Amino acid sequence: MNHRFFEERLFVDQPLPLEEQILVEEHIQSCERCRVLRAAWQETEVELKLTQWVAPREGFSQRWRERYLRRTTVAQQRRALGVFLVTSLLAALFAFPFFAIIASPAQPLWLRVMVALYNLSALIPVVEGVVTFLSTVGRAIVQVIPLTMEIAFGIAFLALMGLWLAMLRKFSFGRVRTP
Amino acid sequence: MKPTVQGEDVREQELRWVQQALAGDTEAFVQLIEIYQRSVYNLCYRMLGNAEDAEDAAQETFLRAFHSLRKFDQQRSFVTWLLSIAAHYCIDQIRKRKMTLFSLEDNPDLEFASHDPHPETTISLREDQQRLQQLLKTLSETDRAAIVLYYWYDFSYEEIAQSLSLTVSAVKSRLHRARRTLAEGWLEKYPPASREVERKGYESPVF
Repeated sequence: MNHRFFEERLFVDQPLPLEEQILVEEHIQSCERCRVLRAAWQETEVELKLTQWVAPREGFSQRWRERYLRRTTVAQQRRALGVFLVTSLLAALFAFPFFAIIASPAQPLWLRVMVALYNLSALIPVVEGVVTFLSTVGRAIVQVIPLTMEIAFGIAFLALMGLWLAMLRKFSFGRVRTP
Repeated sequence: MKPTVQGEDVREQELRWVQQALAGDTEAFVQLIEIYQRSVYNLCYRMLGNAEDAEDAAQETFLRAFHSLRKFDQQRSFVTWLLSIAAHYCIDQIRKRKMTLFSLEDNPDLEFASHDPHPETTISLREDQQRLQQLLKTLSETDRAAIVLYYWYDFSYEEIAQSLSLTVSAVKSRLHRARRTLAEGWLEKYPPASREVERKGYESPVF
């Protein structure tokens, strides 16, 4: 048996079989390195077992209460701000077609509603144009790039997205890991 | 010393607090904090090496535990679950910041569990803590967590495996490697020759 065999056994915390114990003891008598290493580990182990616990400063739970309240308040403020922004955005979107009504109060109501609807419908060709453009570009890409390349690009893109999300989750949102 | 709440009554009380906390009662959760703050703080301190980060990590651990209390399996030990959150949080913090453990000499606020009125004892305790932290910082974050849970908290291999999301054989091999690293670190810091000199210095010249 080589030196490594004995050195490995110096750090086993389960009792060794008697035969192995005798072999290890015999080896230690003749091996300075193992003797020193065993003594070092024994001293370290005593240190580990005897070193006292450290306690937090007084008022730990009070500080936790304060932190909890602070966090809850910030979360509520963020939620409120989010709701406000979404509501404002939706309100702006819905209000846009009726801008004409507000803009020309002199006209009768039915006429103003008609104008608003016309304005809304005037957006349809623009949306159609964007969709047509995107689908044309898509078809051109499909014709130029081979299918295998597209699949490869797709997989690479998804993998990158996944990696990005994983990193974001791990390092930005402080994932709570529970067993 | 395993930081468990002893007795069936106390265990029942602990579960009652957990259920009350689940219903949104923060004061019930504060009772659990009162019991386990020292265990969590000590683990964070051993992992991060300074009082400020340990306080922050311990506070964060209790916040996370409170927010994910629904995930706690009430058949299991609450403190094991709590320490698992603390260990994962500290491991993440070390990885994130790649922080270095700084000397306890820079850390006058450190308080020890035993508040000894004798200053010489406090200095000796401080030196012990410093020596140990220097050794612990030579370990990787997961090995450090395994060693701390094994030696301070008397966790079994299975409990460490569960707490650190490892297999039992991985825990054994990590502990084995950590012991070797610690012994080598100890040897490096206190070579046999210096210890021999130190020992002889204490010996009486008569004998």
